[in-house]
Amino acid sequence: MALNVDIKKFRMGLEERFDLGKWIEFSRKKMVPVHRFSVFYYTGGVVLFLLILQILTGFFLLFYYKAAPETAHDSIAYMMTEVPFGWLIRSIHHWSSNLMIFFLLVHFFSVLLLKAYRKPRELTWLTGIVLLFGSLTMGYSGYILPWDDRAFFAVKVGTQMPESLPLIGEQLKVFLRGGRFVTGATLNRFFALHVGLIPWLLAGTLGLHLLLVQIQGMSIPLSIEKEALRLNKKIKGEPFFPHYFLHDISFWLLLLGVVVSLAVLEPAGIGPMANPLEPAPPGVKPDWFFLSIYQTLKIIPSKILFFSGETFGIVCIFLFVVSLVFIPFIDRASSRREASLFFTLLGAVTTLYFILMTIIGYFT
Amino acid sequence: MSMLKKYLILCLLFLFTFSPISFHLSFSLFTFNPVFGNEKKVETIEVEIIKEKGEEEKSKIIYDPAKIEKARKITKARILGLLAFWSIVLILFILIQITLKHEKCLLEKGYYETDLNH
Repeated sequence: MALNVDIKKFRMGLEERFDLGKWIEFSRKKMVPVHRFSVFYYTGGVVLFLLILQILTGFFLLFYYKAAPETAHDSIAYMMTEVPFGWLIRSIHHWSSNLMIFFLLVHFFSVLLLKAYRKPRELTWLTGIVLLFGSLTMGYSGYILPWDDRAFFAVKVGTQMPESLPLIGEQLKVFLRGGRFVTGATLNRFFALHVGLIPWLLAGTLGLHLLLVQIQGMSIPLSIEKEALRLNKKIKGEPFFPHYFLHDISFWLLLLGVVVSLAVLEPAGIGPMANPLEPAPPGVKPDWFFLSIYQTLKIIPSKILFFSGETFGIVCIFLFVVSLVFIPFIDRASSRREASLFFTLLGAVTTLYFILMTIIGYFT
Repeated sequence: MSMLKKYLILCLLFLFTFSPISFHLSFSLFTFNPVFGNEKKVETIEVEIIKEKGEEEKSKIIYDPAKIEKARKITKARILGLLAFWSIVLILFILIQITLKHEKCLLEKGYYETDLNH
Protein backbone atom coordinates (compact mmCIF):
# COMPACT_ATOMS: atom_id res chain seq x y z
CA MET A 1 0.00 0.00 0.00
CA ALA A 2 2.80 2.37 1.01
CA LEU A 3 4.53 1.56 -2.26
CA ASN A 4 1.34 2.40 -4.18
CA VAL A 5 1.12 5.79 -2.51
CA ASP A 6 4.76 6.51 -3.33
CA ILE A 7 4.33 5.57 -6.99
CA LYS A 8 1.22 7.77 -7.15
CA LYS A 9 3.17 10.67 -5.63
CA PHE A 10 6.01 10.08 -8.06
CA ARG A 11 3.61 10.05 -11.03
CA MET A 12 1.89 13.19 -9.80
CA GLY A 13 5.27 14.87 -9.43
CA LEU A 14 6.17 13.96 -12.98
CA GLU A 15 2.76 15.06 -14.24
CA GLU A 16 3.13 18.41 -12.48
CA ARG A 17 6.56 19.02 -14.01
CA PHE A 18 6.33 17.57 -17.52
CA ASP A 19 2.62 17.40 -18.49
CA LEU A 20 2.92 13.62 -18.99
CA GLY A 21 -0.80 13.30 -19.63
CA LYS A 22 -0.40 15.22 -22.89
CA TRP A 23 2.18 12.73 -24.14
CA ILE A 24 0.14 9.69 -23.11
CA GLU A 25 -2.92 11.19 -24.77
CA PHE A 26 -0.86 11.91 -27.90
CA SER A 27 0.45 8.31 -28.13
CA ARG A 28 -3.11 6.96 -27.61
CA LYS A 29 -4.55 9.18 -30.33
CA LYS A 30 -1.70 8.53 -32.74
CA MET A 31 -2.87 6.06 -35.38
CA VAL A 32 -0.92 3.81 -37.71
CA PRO A 33 -2.54 2.74 -41.00
CA VAL A 34 -3.21 -0.98 -41.45
CA HIS A 35 -2.99 -2.39 -44.99
CA ARG A 36 -1.11 -5.05 -46.99
CA PHE A 37 2.16 -3.04 -47.00
CA SER A 38 2.08 -2.26 -43.25
CA VAL A 39 4.98 -4.63 -42.61
CA PHE A 40 7.37 -2.08 -44.15
CA TYR A 41 6.51 0.39 -41.38
CA TYR A 42 8.38 -1.85 -38.94
CA THR A 43 11.70 -1.65 -40.84
CA GLY A 44 12.31 1.88 -39.49
CA GLY A 45 11.82 0.73 -35.89
CA VAL A 46 14.06 -2.28 -36.48
CA VAL A 47 16.85 0.03 -37.70
CA LEU A 48 16.41 2.15 -34.57
CA PHE A 49 16.67 -0.93 -32.34
CA LEU A 50 19.82 -2.15 -34.11
CA LEU A 51 21.35 1.32 -33.81
CA ILE A 52 20.74 1.24 -30.03
CA LEU A 53 22.39 -2.20 -29.93
CA GLN A 54 25.32 -0.80 -31.90
CA ILE A 55 25.80 2.09 -29.49
CA LEU A 56 25.65 -0.16 -26.41
CA THR A 57 28.09 -2.77 -27.74
CA GLY A 58 30.25 0.00 -29.20
CA PHE A 59 30.71 1.47 -25.72
CA PHE A 60 31.93 -1.88 -24.40
CA LEU A 61 34.37 -2.23 -27.29
CA LEU A 62 35.72 1.25 -26.58
CA PHE A 63 36.80 0.09 -23.10
CA TYR A 64 39.41 -2.17 -24.70
CA TYR A 65 40.07 -0.89 -28.23
CA LYS A 66 43.28 1.09 -28.75
CA ALA A 67 43.26 3.11 -31.98
CA ALA A 68 46.88 3.04 -33.15
CA PRO A 69 48.51 0.88 -35.85
CA GLU A 70 50.74 -0.83 -33.25
CA THR A 71 47.92 -1.61 -30.82
CA ALA A 72 44.61 -1.78 -32.73
CA HIS A 73 45.03 -5.34 -34.01
CA ASP A 74 46.35 -6.68 -30.72
CA SER A 75 43.61 -4.99 -28.71
CA ILE A 76 40.98 -6.75 -30.84
CA ALA A 77 42.84 -10.06 -30.46
CA TYR A 78 42.93 -9.43 -26.68
CA MET A 79 39.20 -8.71 -26.70
CA MET A 80 38.50 -11.91 -28.61
CA THR A 81 40.68 -14.21 -26.53
CA GLU A 82 41.10 -12.75 -23.03
CA VAL A 83 38.19 -10.42 -22.16
CA PRO A 84 35.22 -12.37 -20.73
CA PHE A 85 32.47 -12.39 -23.38
CA GLY A 86 34.58 -9.99 -25.48
CA TRP A 87 34.08 -12.27 -28.51
CA LEU A 88 30.29 -12.09 -27.97
CA ILE A 89 30.10 -8.32 -27.62
CA ARG A 90 32.30 -7.79 -30.68
CA SER A 91 30.30 -10.33 -32.70
CA ILE A 92 26.98 -8.72 -31.69
CA HIS A 93 28.42 -5.35 -32.78
CA HIS A 94 29.55 -6.90 -36.08
CA TRP A 95 26.27 -8.69 -36.89
CA SER A 96 23.99 -5.89 -35.71
CA SER A 97 25.84 -3.43 -37.97
CA ASN A 98 25.35 -5.73 -40.97
CA LEU A 99 21.68 -6.29 -40.16
CA MET A 100 21.17 -2.57 -39.52
CA ILE A 101 22.44 -1.72 -42.99
CA PHE A 102 20.33 -4.55 -44.47
CA PHE A 103 17.13 -3.25 -42.85
CA LEU A 104 18.08 0.33 -43.67
CA LEU A 105 18.34 -0.63 -47.34
CA VAL A 106 14.98 -2.49 -47.16
CA HIS A 107 13.48 0.65 -45.55
CA PHE A 108 15.04 2.87 -48.23
CA PHE A 109 13.86 0.73 -51.17
CA SER A 110 10.36 0.35 -49.68
CA VAL A 111 10.06 4.15 -49.27
CA LEU A 112 11.31 4.60 -52.84
CA LEU A 113 8.91 2.02 -54.32
CA LEU A 114 5.87 3.03 -52.24
CA LYS A 115 6.64 6.70 -52.95
CA ALA A 116 6.47 7.62 -49.29
CA TYR A 117 8.79 10.53 -50.08
CA ARG A 118 6.00 12.52 -51.78
CA LYS A 119 4.69 15.83 -50.46
CA PRO A 120 4.55 16.70 -47.53
CA ARG A 121 7.38 14.31 -46.52
CA GLU A 122 10.28 15.83 -48.49
CA LEU A 123 12.25 16.69 -45.35
CA THR A 124 11.71 13.18 -43.93
CA TRP A 125 13.19 11.80 -47.17
CA LEU A 126 16.19 14.15 -46.96
CA THR A 127 16.92 13.20 -43.35
CA GLY A 128 16.52 9.55 -44.37
CA ILE A 129 19.12 9.95 -47.13
CA VAL A 130 21.54 11.51 -44.61
CA LEU A 131 20.88 8.58 -42.25
CA LEU A 132 21.45 6.03 -45.03
CA PHE A 133 24.79 7.47 -46.15
CA GLY A 134 25.81 8.21 -42.56
CA SER A 135 25.23 4.55 -41.68
CA LEU A 136 27.13 3.36 -44.76
CA THR A 137 30.04 5.60 -43.71
CA MET A 138 29.81 4.12 -40.21
CA GLY A 139 30.00 0.62 -41.67
CA TYR A 140 32.93 1.54 -43.91
CA SER A 141 34.87 3.38 -41.21
CA GLY A 142 34.37 0.44 -38.83
CA TYR A 143 35.81 -1.98 -41.36
CA ILE A 144 39.39 -0.67 -41.03
CA LEU A 145 39.44 -0.56 -37.21
CA PRO A 146 40.67 -4.17 -36.63
CA TRP A 147 43.72 -3.22 -38.75
CA ASP A 148 44.05 -6.69 -40.25
CA ASP A 149 45.24 -7.42 -43.80
CA ARG A 150 41.81 -7.64 -45.44
CA ALA A 151 40.56 -4.43 -43.81
CA PHE A 152 43.77 -2.63 -44.75
CA PHE A 153 43.64 -3.53 -48.44
CA ALA A 154 39.86 -3.06 -48.72
CA VAL A 155 40.27 0.47 -47.32
CA LYS A 156 43.27 1.07 -49.58
CA VAL A 157 41.14 0.21 -52.64
CA GLY A 158 38.12 2.11 -51.29
CA THR A 159 40.00 5.32 -50.56
CA GLN A 160 41.69 5.08 -53.96
CA MET A 161 38.30 5.35 -55.71
CA PRO A 162 37.59 9.06 -55.02
CA GLU A 163 40.85 9.89 -56.81
CA SER A 164 39.02 9.32 -60.11
CA LEU A 165 36.64 12.21 -59.39
CA PRO A 166 37.62 15.26 -61.43
CA LEU A 167 38.96 18.39 -59.65
CA ILE A 168 38.49 17.26 -56.03
CA GLY A 169 39.60 13.62 -56.38
CA GLU A 170 43.19 13.89 -55.15
CA GLN A 171 42.29 16.22 -52.24
CA LEU A 172 39.46 13.92 -51.19
CA LYS A 173 41.80 10.92 -51.16
CA VAL A 174 44.37 12.80 -49.07
CA PHE A 175 41.62 13.99 -46.71
CA LEU A 176 40.30 10.43 -46.20
CA ARG A 177 43.73 8.86 -45.76
CA GLY A 178 45.34 11.66 -43.78
CA GLY A 179 48.13 11.62 -46.37
CA ARG A 180 48.89 10.03 -49.70
CA PHE A 181 49.05 6.50 -48.32
CA VAL A 182 47.00 4.34 -45.94
CA THR A 183 48.85 4.68 -42.63
CA GLY A 184 48.19 5.09 -38.94
CA ALA A 185 46.79 8.54 -39.76
CA THR A 186 44.06 6.83 -41.83
CA LEU A 187 43.21 4.60 -38.88
CA ASN A 188 42.96 7.65 -36.61
CA ARG A 189 40.73 9.48 -39.08
CA PHE A 190 38.40 6.54 -39.53
CA PHE A 191 38.25 5.98 -35.78
CA ALA A 192 37.40 9.67 -35.24
CA LEU A 193 34.67 9.40 -37.89
CA HIS A 194 33.36 6.12 -36.46
CA VAL A 195 33.03 7.15 -32.81
CA GLY A 196 33.25 10.94 -32.83
CA LEU A 197 31.57 12.56 -35.80
CA ILE A 198 29.13 10.18 -37.52
CA PRO A 199 27.31 8.95 -34.36
CA TRP A 200 26.44 12.54 -33.42
CA LEU A 201 25.37 13.33 -36.96
CA LEU A 202 23.22 10.19 -36.97
CA ALA A 203 21.72 10.93 -33.55
CA GLY A 204 20.77 14.50 -34.51
CA THR A 205 19.34 13.52 -37.90
CA LEU A 206 17.53 10.53 -36.42
CA GLY A 207 15.90 12.79 -33.82
CA LEU A 208 14.62 15.08 -36.58
CA HIS A 209 13.54 12.10 -38.73
CA LEU A 210 11.53 10.58 -35.86
CA LEU A 211 10.01 13.94 -34.96
CA LEU A 212 8.86 14.41 -38.56
CA VAL A 213 7.36 10.89 -38.61
CA GLN A 214 5.50 11.68 -35.37
CA ILE A 215 4.17 15.00 -36.70
CA GLN A 216 3.22 13.84 -40.21
CA GLY A 217 2.30 10.23 -39.44
CA MET A 218 3.01 7.20 -41.64
CA SER A 219 2.64 7.62 -45.37
CA ILE A 220 -0.10 5.57 -47.05
CA PRO A 221 0.87 4.03 -50.41
CA LEU A 222 -0.84 5.58 -53.46
CA SER A 223 -2.34 2.24 -54.55
CA ILE A 224 -4.00 1.78 -51.14
CA GLU A 225 -5.38 5.34 -51.20
CA LYS A 226 -6.78 4.87 -54.72
CA GLU A 227 -8.27 1.49 -53.85
CA ALA A 228 -10.00 3.01 -50.81
CA LEU A 229 -11.36 5.87 -52.94
CA ARG A 230 -12.59 3.48 -55.66
CA LEU A 231 -14.36 1.21 -53.20
CA ASN A 232 -15.48 4.19 -51.10
CA LYS A 233 -13.93 2.54 -48.06
CA LYS A 234 -12.10 4.06 -45.14
CA ILE A 235 -8.50 2.98 -44.53
CA LYS A 236 -8.34 1.28 -41.18
CA GLY A 237 -5.83 2.15 -38.52
CA GLU A 238 -4.63 0.90 -35.16
CA PRO A 239 -3.41 2.90 -32.17
CA PHE A 240 0.34 3.42 -31.98
CA PHE A 241 0.13 2.55 -28.30
CA PRO A 242 -0.33 -0.27 -27.38
CA HIS A 243 -0.93 -2.17 -30.67
CA TYR A 244 1.83 -0.94 -32.97
CA PHE A 245 4.23 -0.62 -30.04
CA LEU A 246 3.68 -4.27 -29.02
CA HIS A 247 4.18 -5.45 -32.62
CA ASP A 248 7.39 -3.41 -32.72
CA ILE A 249 8.66 -4.91 -29.46
CA SER A 250 7.89 -8.44 -30.74
CA PHE A 251 10.01 -7.82 -33.86
CA TRP A 252 12.84 -6.36 -31.78
CA LEU A 253 12.82 -9.32 -29.44
CA LEU A 254 13.00 -11.88 -32.25
CA LEU A 255 15.69 -9.86 -33.97
CA LEU A 256 17.74 -9.78 -30.76
CA GLY A 257 17.51 -13.58 -30.76
CA VAL A 258 18.70 -13.71 -34.37
CA VAL A 259 21.62 -11.32 -33.70
CA VAL A 260 22.78 -13.28 -30.64
CA SER A 261 22.43 -16.59 -32.53
CA LEU A 262 24.53 -15.27 -35.42
CA ALA A 263 27.11 -13.95 -32.94
CA VAL A 264 27.36 -17.33 -31.21
CA LEU A 265 27.25 -19.54 -34.30
CA GLU A 266 29.44 -17.38 -36.56
CA PRO A 267 31.53 -15.02 -34.38
CA ALA A 268 33.44 -12.16 -36.02
CA GLY A 269 36.98 -13.11 -36.96
CA ILE A 270 40.24 -11.24 -37.38
CA GLY A 271 43.02 -11.87 -39.90
CA PRO A 272 46.77 -11.33 -39.55
CA MET A 273 47.93 -7.78 -38.75
CA ALA A 274 48.09 -5.40 -41.73
CA ASN A 275 51.47 -5.14 -43.37
CA PRO A 276 51.64 -2.43 -46.05
CA LEU A 277 54.76 -4.00 -47.57
CA GLU A 278 53.09 -7.34 -48.25
CA PRO A 279 50.95 -7.95 -51.37
CA ALA A 280 47.18 -7.89 -50.96
CA PRO A 281 45.73 -11.27 -49.96
CA PRO A 282 43.66 -12.94 -52.72
CA GLY A 283 39.93 -12.27 -52.87
CA VAL A 284 39.92 -8.93 -51.02
CA LYS A 285 36.49 -7.40 -51.42
CA PRO A 286 34.62 -4.52 -49.79
CA ASP A 287 31.79 -5.12 -47.31
CA TRP A 288 28.64 -6.64 -48.89
CA PHE A 289 26.80 -3.30 -48.99
CA PHE A 290 29.46 -1.84 -51.30
CA LEU A 291 29.61 -4.89 -53.57
CA SER A 292 27.14 -3.38 -56.06
CA ILE A 293 29.43 -0.36 -56.58
CA TYR A 294 32.51 -2.62 -56.72
CA GLN A 295 30.87 -4.91 -59.30
CA THR A 296 29.64 -1.93 -61.37
CA LEU A 297 33.19 -0.55 -61.59
CA LYS A 298 34.46 -4.02 -62.54
CA ILE A 299 32.14 -4.42 -65.53
CA ILE A 300 32.66 -0.91 -66.95
CA PRO A 301 35.12 -0.95 -69.92
CA SER A 302 38.53 0.62 -69.25
CA LYS A 303 37.84 3.53 -71.65
CA ILE A 304 34.57 5.27 -72.47
CA LEU A 305 34.87 8.10 -75.03
CA PHE A 306 37.54 10.45 -73.59
CA PHE A 307 37.27 9.24 -70.00
CA SER A 308 38.76 6.32 -68.16
CA GLY A 309 36.13 3.70 -67.26
CA GLU A 310 36.68 4.16 -63.52
CA THR A 311 36.27 7.95 -63.69
CA PHE A 312 33.10 7.52 -65.76
CA GLY A 313 31.69 4.94 -63.33
CA ILE A 314 32.46 6.93 -60.19
CA VAL A 315 31.07 10.17 -61.66
CA CYS A 316 27.86 8.31 -62.68
CA ILE A 317 27.47 6.76 -59.20
CA PHE A 318 28.12 10.16 -57.59
CA LEU A 319 25.51 11.85 -59.81
CA PHE A 320 22.99 9.09 -59.11
CA VAL A 321 23.46 9.50 -55.35
CA VAL A 322 23.06 13.29 -55.64
CA SER A 323 19.93 12.86 -57.79
CA LEU A 324 18.34 10.74 -55.03
CA VAL A 325 18.12 13.87 -52.88
CA PHE A 326 15.93 15.63 -55.46
CA ILE A 327 13.45 12.79 -56.16
CA PRO A 328 10.57 14.25 -54.05
CA PHE A 329 11.01 17.61 -55.81
CA ILE A 330 11.11 16.12 -59.32
CA ASP A 331 8.34 13.55 -58.93
CA ARG A 332 5.48 16.04 -58.65
CA ALA A 333 2.92 13.61 -60.15
CA SER A 334 2.91 11.37 -57.09
CA SER A 335 2.48 14.47 -54.90
CA ARG A 336 -0.73 15.12 -56.84
CA ARG A 337 -1.66 11.46 -56.17
CA GLU A 338 -1.21 10.61 -59.85
CA ALA A 339 0.66 7.60 -61.22
CA SER A 340 4.28 8.30 -62.17
CA LEU A 341 5.46 5.31 -64.15
CA PHE A 342 8.99 6.66 -64.64
CA PHE A 343 9.71 6.81 -60.90
CA THR A 344 8.07 3.43 -60.28
CA LEU A 345 10.37 1.93 -62.93
CA LEU A 346 13.37 3.84 -61.55
CA GLY A 347 12.70 2.45 -58.08
CA ALA A 348 12.19 -1.11 -59.35
CA VAL A 349 15.27 -1.05 -61.63
CA THR A 350 17.46 0.44 -58.85
CA THR A 351 16.31 -2.22 -56.37
CA LEU A 352 16.85 -5.10 -58.83
CA TYR A 353 20.22 -3.73 -59.98
CA PHE A 354 21.45 -3.40 -56.39
CA ILE A 355 20.39 -6.97 -55.49
CA LEU A 356 21.78 -8.48 -58.71
CA MET A 357 25.15 -6.70 -58.56
CA THR A 358 25.56 -7.58 -54.86
CA ILE A 359 24.93 -11.28 -55.62
CA ILE A 360 27.30 -11.28 -58.64
CA GLY A 361 29.94 -9.36 -56.65
CA TYR A 362 29.67 -11.85 -53.80
CA PHE A 363 30.03 -14.99 -55.90
CA THR A 364 32.66 -13.84 -58.42
CA MET B 1 4.01 27.28 -18.53
CA SER B 2 3.63 25.44 -21.82
CA MET B 3 5.52 22.24 -22.57
CA LEU B 4 7.47 23.95 -25.35
CA LYS B 5 8.71 26.69 -23.00
CA LYS B 6 9.83 24.07 -20.48
CA TYR B 7 11.63 22.18 -23.20
CA LEU B 8 13.37 25.34 -24.41
CA ILE B 9 14.51 26.18 -20.87
CA LEU B 10 15.93 22.66 -20.52
CA CYS B 11 17.76 23.01 -23.86
CA LEU B 12 19.21 26.39 -22.83
CA LEU B 13 20.35 25.01 -19.46
CA PHE B 14 22.00 22.10 -21.29
CA LEU B 15 23.76 24.48 -23.70
CA PHE B 16 24.95 26.81 -20.93
CA THR B 17 26.33 23.88 -18.96
CA PHE B 18 28.08 22.12 -21.77
CA SER B 19 29.13 24.86 -24.18
CA PRO B 20 31.99 26.22 -21.95
CA ILE B 21 33.29 22.66 -21.53
CA SER B 22 33.17 21.90 -25.25
CA PHE B 23 34.67 25.34 -26.05
CA HIS B 24 37.49 24.69 -23.60
CA LEU B 25 38.07 21.22 -25.01
CA SER B 26 38.18 22.34 -28.64
CA PHE B 27 40.36 25.33 -27.72
CA SER B 28 42.94 23.10 -26.05
CA LEU B 29 42.78 20.60 -28.89
CA PHE B 30 43.36 23.10 -31.66
CA THR B 31 45.98 25.25 -29.98
CA PHE B 32 47.99 22.33 -28.56
CA ASN B 33 48.91 24.52 -25.57
CA PRO B 34 49.78 22.39 -22.58
CA VAL B 35 50.38 25.32 -20.19
CA PHE B 36 47.82 28.07 -19.50
CA GLY B 37 48.38 31.61 -18.16
CA ASN B 38 50.63 31.85 -15.13
CA GLU B 39 50.53 28.19 -14.30
CA LYS B 40 53.82 26.62 -13.42
CA LYS B 41 55.51 24.62 -16.15
CA VAL B 42 55.12 20.90 -15.77
CA GLU B 43 58.37 19.35 -14.71
CA THR B 44 59.46 16.16 -16.37
CA ILE B 45 60.90 13.53 -14.10
CA GLU B 46 62.89 10.84 -15.77
CA VAL B 47 61.92 7.39 -14.61
CA GLU B 48 63.89 4.28 -15.24
CA ILE B 49 61.70 1.22 -15.58
CA ILE B 50 63.49 -1.92 -14.62
CA LYS B 51 62.02 -4.98 -16.28
CA GLU B 52 63.06 -8.53 -16.00
CA LYS B 53 64.23 -10.25 -19.15
CA GLY B 54 61.29 -11.57 -21.14
CA GLU B 55 58.71 -9.56 -19.15
CA GLU B 56 58.04 -7.19 -22.04
CA GLU B 57 57.29 -10.07 -24.39
CA LYS B 58 55.07 -11.68 -21.77
CA SER B 59 52.93 -8.58 -21.28
CA LYS B 60 52.43 -8.06 -25.02
CA ILE B 61 49.46 -9.79 -26.61
CA ILE B 62 50.66 -11.58 -29.68
CA TYR B 63 48.18 -12.49 -32.39
CA ASP B 64 47.76 -16.21 -32.51
CA PRO B 65 45.37 -17.52 -35.20
CA ALA B 66 44.86 -20.78 -33.26
CA LYS B 67 43.81 -18.83 -30.15
CA ILE B 68 41.39 -16.74 -32.21
CA GLU B 69 39.89 -19.85 -33.79
CA LYS B 70 39.55 -21.40 -30.35
CA ALA B 71 37.70 -18.27 -29.16
CA ARG B 72 35.36 -18.52 -32.19
CA LYS B 73 34.64 -22.22 -31.74
CA ILE B 74 31.07 -23.34 -31.00
CA THR B 75 31.19 -25.12 -27.65
CA LYS B 76 28.56 -27.10 -25.76
CA ALA B 77 28.34 -24.35 -23.12
CA ARG B 78 27.69 -21.72 -25.79
CA ILE B 79 24.92 -23.79 -27.38
CA LEU B 80 23.30 -24.31 -23.98
CA GLY B 81 23.62 -20.58 -23.26
CA LEU B 82 22.02 -19.80 -26.61
CA LEU B 83 19.13 -22.20 -25.93
CA ALA B 84 18.58 -20.61 -22.52
CA PHE B 85 18.59 -17.16 -24.12
CA TRP B 86 16.08 -18.25 -26.78
CA SER B 87 13.78 -19.73 -24.15
CA ILE B 88 13.69 -16.32 -22.37
CA VAL B 89 13.08 -14.58 -25.71
CA LEU B 90 10.23 -16.98 -26.55
CA ILE B 91 8.59 -16.64 -23.12
CA LEU B 92 8.67 -12.84 -23.45
CA PHE B 93 7.40 -13.11 -27.03
CA ILE B 94 4.45 -15.28 -25.94
CA LEU B 95 3.62 -12.86 -23.11
CA ILE B 96 3.63 -9.93 -25.54
CA GLN B 97 1.44 -11.87 -27.97
CA ILE B 98 -1.08 -12.63 -25.20
CA THR B 99 -1.21 -8.93 -24.31
CA LEU B 100 -1.56 -8.05 -27.98
CA LYS B 101 -4.42 -10.53 -28.43
CA HIS B 102 -6.23 -8.98 -25.48
CA GLU B 103 -5.68 -5.47 -26.89
CA LYS B 104 -6.94 -6.60 -30.31
CA CYS B 105 -10.14 -7.92 -28.67
CA LEU B 106 -10.59 -4.49 -27.10
CA LEU B 107 -9.98 -2.89 -30.50
CA GLU B 108 -12.69 -5.06 -32.09
CA LYS B 109 -15.10 -4.20 -29.27
CA GLY B 110 -14.62 -0.52 -30.07
CA TYR B 111 -12.60 0.39 -26.99
CA TYR B 112 -10.05 2.07 -29.31
CA GLU B 113 -10.65 4.20 -32.40
CA THR B 114 -9.80 2.73 -35.81
CA ASP B 115 -10.27 5.86 -37.93
CA LEU B 116 -7.08 7.48 -39.15
CA ASN B 117 -6.59 11.11 -38.13
CA HIS B 118 -5.42 12.03 -41.63
